[in-house]
Amino acid sequence: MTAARRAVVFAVGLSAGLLVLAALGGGLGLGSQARGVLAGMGGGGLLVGLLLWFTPGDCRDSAPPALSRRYYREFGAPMAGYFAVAFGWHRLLDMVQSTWLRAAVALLPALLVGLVVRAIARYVRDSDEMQRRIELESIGIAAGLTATAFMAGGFLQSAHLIAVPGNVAMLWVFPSLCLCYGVAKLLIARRYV
Amino acid sequence: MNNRLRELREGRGWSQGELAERLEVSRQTVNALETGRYDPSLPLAFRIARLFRLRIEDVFFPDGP
Repeated sequence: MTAARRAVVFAVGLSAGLLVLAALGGGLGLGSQARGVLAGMGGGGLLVGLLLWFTPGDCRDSAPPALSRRYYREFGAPMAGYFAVAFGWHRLLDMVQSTWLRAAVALLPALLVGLVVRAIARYVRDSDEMQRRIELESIGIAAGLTATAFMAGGFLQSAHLIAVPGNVAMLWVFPSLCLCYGVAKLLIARRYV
Repeated sequence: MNNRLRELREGRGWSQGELAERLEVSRQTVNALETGRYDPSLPLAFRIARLFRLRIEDVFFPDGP
């Protein structure tokens, strides 16, 4: 088994562990918010692991090492911060009363996601021309699919066939976009292998 | 479009990774160029030709007659 495959197996194992922790968290005294975050991390990790497992070996060398290192550094720090904030976000929100402070705390995760988007934008900008083509095509397709899916959801909700709370629907836009992007990139990158 | 990239690279004894580093592109891009799955832009084609001290038409040539 190659090092890349071993890393994927490790990531899948870790993600499965987080999902188990989320499922058993009630008995361990974890709140619903913390269990939700653990389930999100576990589910996301499993999906990323699956995408990487089916990615051809050549596609993993899609950036010069220096660019990859910078990307992982700029992406990893705010993402770790996002998960840390997500754990204590509700508790922090309950501690403040002022509207402005509540707004600042409420927007903290979005600020961290903004830094993640910045890392992605810098990665795409500094990639070579073929990689930029793959990235932009993947992002374009992902944006179209996500917009279509959420619009379809809106019509279904208007027809009273589904009932998804507005805050939940809005929170799922970015993860859905990331998922569609991952699948689209996997398929598009195969064209050049 | 066809090209002699693999032949030229192997002639210099470079790996795909080394060529990628010299061209400041990814190894996946070098592989796609060599297998003809990706046609480079004019600036990249010039960079490749300059690296091998050749003219563009000595590295890249059109499909068919």
